[in-house]
Amino acid sequence: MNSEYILPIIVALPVVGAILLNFINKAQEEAMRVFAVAISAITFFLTLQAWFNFDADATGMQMVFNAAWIPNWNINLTMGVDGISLPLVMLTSGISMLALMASWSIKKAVKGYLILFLLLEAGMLGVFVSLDFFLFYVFWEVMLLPMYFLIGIWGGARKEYAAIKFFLYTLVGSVLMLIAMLMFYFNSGRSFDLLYLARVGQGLEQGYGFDQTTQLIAFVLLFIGFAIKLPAFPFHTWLPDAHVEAPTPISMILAGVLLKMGGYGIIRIAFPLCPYGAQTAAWALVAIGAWSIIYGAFAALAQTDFKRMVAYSSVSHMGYVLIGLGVWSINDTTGAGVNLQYWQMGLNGAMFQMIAHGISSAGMFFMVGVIYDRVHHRDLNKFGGLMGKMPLYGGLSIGLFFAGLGLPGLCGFIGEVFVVLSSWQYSKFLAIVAASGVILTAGYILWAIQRVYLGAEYKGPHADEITPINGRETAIATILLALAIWFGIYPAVLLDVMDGSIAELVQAMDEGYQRVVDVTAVSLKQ
Amino acid sequence: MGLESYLLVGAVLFVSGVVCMATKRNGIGLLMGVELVLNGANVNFVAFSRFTTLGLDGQIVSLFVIVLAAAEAAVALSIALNFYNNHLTIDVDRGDELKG
Amino acid sequence: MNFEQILNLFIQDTTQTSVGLIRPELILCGTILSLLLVRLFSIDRWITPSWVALVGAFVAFGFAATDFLALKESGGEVVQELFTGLLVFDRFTAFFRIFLMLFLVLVVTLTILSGLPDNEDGPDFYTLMFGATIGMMVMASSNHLLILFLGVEMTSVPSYVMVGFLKGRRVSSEAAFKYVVYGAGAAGVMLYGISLLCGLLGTGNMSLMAERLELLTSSGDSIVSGTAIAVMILMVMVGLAFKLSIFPFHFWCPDAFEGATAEVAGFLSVASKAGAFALLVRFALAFSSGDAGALQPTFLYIGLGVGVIAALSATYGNLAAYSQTNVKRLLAYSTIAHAGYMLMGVSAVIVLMNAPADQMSEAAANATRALEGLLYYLAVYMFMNLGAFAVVAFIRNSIFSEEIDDYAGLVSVTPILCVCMLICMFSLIGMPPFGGFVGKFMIFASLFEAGSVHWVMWLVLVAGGVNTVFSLFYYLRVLKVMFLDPRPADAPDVDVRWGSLPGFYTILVTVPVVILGVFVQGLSSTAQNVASVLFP
Repeated sequence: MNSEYILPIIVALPVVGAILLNFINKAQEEAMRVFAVAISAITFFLTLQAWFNFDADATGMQMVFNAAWIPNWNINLTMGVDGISLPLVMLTSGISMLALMASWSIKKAVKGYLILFLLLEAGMLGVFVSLDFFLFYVFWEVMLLPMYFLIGIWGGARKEYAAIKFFLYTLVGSVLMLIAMLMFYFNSGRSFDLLYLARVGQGLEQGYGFDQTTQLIAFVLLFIGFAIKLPAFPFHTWLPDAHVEAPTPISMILAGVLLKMGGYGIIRIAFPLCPYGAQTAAWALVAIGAWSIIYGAFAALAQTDFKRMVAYSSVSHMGYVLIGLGVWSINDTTGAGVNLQYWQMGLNGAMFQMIAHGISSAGMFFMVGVIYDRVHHRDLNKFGGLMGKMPLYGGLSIGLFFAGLGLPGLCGFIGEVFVVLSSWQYSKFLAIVAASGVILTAGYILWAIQRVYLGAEYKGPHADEITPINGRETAIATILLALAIWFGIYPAVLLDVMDGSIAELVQAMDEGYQRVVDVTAVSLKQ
Repeated sequence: MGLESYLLVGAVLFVSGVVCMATKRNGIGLLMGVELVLNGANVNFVAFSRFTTLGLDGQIVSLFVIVLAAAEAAVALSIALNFYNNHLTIDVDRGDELKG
Repeated sequence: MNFEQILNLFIQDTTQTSVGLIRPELILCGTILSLLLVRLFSIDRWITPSWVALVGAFVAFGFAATDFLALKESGGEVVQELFTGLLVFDRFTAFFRIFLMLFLVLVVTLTILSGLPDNEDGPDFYTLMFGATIGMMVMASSNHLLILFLGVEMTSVPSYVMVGFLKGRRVSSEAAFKYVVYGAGAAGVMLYGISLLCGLLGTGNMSLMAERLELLTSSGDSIVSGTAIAVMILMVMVGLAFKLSIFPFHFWCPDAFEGATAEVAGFLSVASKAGAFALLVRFALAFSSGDAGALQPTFLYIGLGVGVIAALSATYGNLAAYSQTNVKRLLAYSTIAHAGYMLMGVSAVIVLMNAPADQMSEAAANATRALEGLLYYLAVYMFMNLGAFAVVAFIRNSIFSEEIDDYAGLVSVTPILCVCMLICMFSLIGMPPFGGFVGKFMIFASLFEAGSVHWVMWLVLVAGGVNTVFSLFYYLRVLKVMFLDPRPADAPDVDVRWGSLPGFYTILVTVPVVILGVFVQGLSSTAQNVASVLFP
């Protein structure tokens, strides 16, 4: 297939699927579910083909698709992938497919659910491949509508509250992003093209540039918008409610994919376009990240609701991403980067942690959902002895929870160790804080495992409903665990793809920062 | 008898009309205030037509305004009559079912 | 010239140019006459007045469309003054005519489908509606201060009656009474301001006002000061602010919308705003001759004031909508808020056109883009607001209630109406991929650009963004009730399904909202083309 069109087809296919799904009679629930899984499977295979078409040694964007959308405003349908977005695209399509397979537990209004889910998938894929800021913004916002209804209709006890909280937080972030977008648009001679804007921000284009104040303000606005999604303390309070009240497949998507968009937004937009802003705020990123790790871990320790504990563990794990993004040390006099290979390692660790957390947290939420479907409660103190009653389930769960813990050999370890190692160079104190987060993480995960799976007997209600894990659920869990093990043992499969683009980014930002600092110094002298 | 005197008369009519509109509770009184305002403007138009380069335009405008004021008054009075039929009062403050 | 020469000139001007260019208005007048004759000669036993009205509206729409397309073909540089300079015919006029005619066709169809006026009242109702529409078209093509007043009155007076159309309802009579009292007062103040302006400038012709103002200020005449001109302009704007339901002249709007039927409320909320915005733009631009005159600071501050009022209006509308339980009242406050957003666009146009001399290089191009944003927003607003009111009307026909709580769980009964309401409301919030987002984006972009002229515009932009978040709550509340709440067992059924005419109509009105959000280029370039005629 012509590689130029593969990305638009990947984004458009779920939409087409949603439209076609409309015509299936709503009584034939099984047919609809199978159709939806088929659509997402085809999308997944297309992304797999994009993966194999990807040339890890080439620089720049690949499989670029460009078409004019609104020429009056210089808005184009530009899509492309590089080493940073391609793993995330694969993560999206993979987790979506698995979450659809997990959606057999949704019983009411199946048609509406599947249509909204497919639209959501299209929005997520669109965010990761967009190279035009306006298009990125449109896809970012498009996700909100299906998400609101997916949480609000099929969710748990406090679903309306959780849904509107999620919508509200994200909308506030989006409005801030819109203001930053307008700042970039008008200061660059009316362009939304992210690659062109990056060059303007790095001082490479004659005649246009973002001066230091603009970069600082824009970076703060963008960072708040993306930190809400990440989520970073103190913008994280939507996450426990949304994750807990959402149905299991949607929690998998929320934790597995949506959170990564915050990190992706920072790497793709906030960093390249505002190198000065990024460097000035780097210490804040690392500090917020470190605090998120500790805070999330302590909060997870305190939970009695199983799903809420996993939700706070997401807050904690995404703190590592933020640290990895921020460990950019510079020489204060010249502005040149110092030991940039550590920052590159940190970025690699942050990216890897995003993929790994996507897999492990989707797995954790799925396992919680499996037992919740049977006993209809999530109280950690009322579990116990599940290993005896559901041995296969217990084994797979422990594997996935260990992946979340960051056990060496599983995927969670690589990201964490890269981030901690790279932060040692930047700030020894914060590195120690980050490392001690690992201990807390081990604490709450092991304690949860002990309370839920180990022990002699099951102490909770509905004991008779505990049936062994069925084939579909086993398949999903096995796939996730297999990926976790594979990425843990052979991380190069991801790192080889990511490293080239990350090296480019580091170099571009280092040079861009120096140019911005020089320009201002030069103009001051004059 | 210069321009200023006529403008003063117009202003007096305008202010009395506005005060009437603001303070009257009787609906018909309120509409009388509206007529006062419109006629204050008319005086202005005719005066400007006589003393400035506005020329014939001012007088034409004031003719149009007279017609419009009549039409508006007719409609307003019919609506007031409808209000009376429903509420048995012409007191503006007594219409309070629509609140918030 | 003697009298006979003047008379011949007048007849020539009227018959050869003017009458031919006001065909849509003439068609509507003809329809009004036929409606009245239909009742007079009792033909309404065979032909329903509604169909006469629909045919008339269609024919007028056809003529408006041909005019617009002909203008486009010919390159569209026509700026033809009609009737000795009272009206003007250009691309802007043609655009608003086609907009208003399309809207009229849709509203008449809605009244036919929802069965609002019965046969007996039909001619009256449609006469009023058509009369108001003629007034709006006159507003959009006005070139003289008299026509400004005339157009506003021609629109308002039938609207007063339409609000109170259901004579027996107490709330309708109260709403109409409050509306007429407010409206007459505002029109009076506006007329007084017009009289002072006419007298000061020595002419009522808007295309001559800028030059006269130049002359007066440059001659050093002490009567004219910036403050005096500002006061007069503000008095005129009182009347326009009333028509646009801008804070603080908005008090009639919630009461009038609650008292009126949903169809009339929908008509008022879109069409009178469109006409009033066209008029406001013409009036505001009549004072800007394009290069910075001595009064440039005054007009810049007027523009900033308009921006601040717009922000206040949007904020007030959004905050007051929180506590509403009646869905029409909620939509009335949403109308106030959206008038605020659109007024922000107007303020950007004024500020950009009155920038200080050193920033005037691209003023015309920037102001054209700002006006393009406003026109795009208006077009999308037509569809999304009409869609919302149409849904309200159809639901009212079945459950006889307009309280939000009675909408609980409607998605299980009539998914078509609920999904259309969802699309319209998400567009009103300003979410992609709907047209409301594109319109809001364009206006925000123009505000940002105006911010480089004066920083207050950036605050207005922030207010606009904050208000988008505010508005989320109350729109979502309606949707939450419709989608998330369970339907009580004893609630009446709403019989609007796939394939029924009301369902089809609602889809017809909602689909453009989605189309205008995705296929932006067409309307955007048309709007830019139309807007550029005002900035020679």
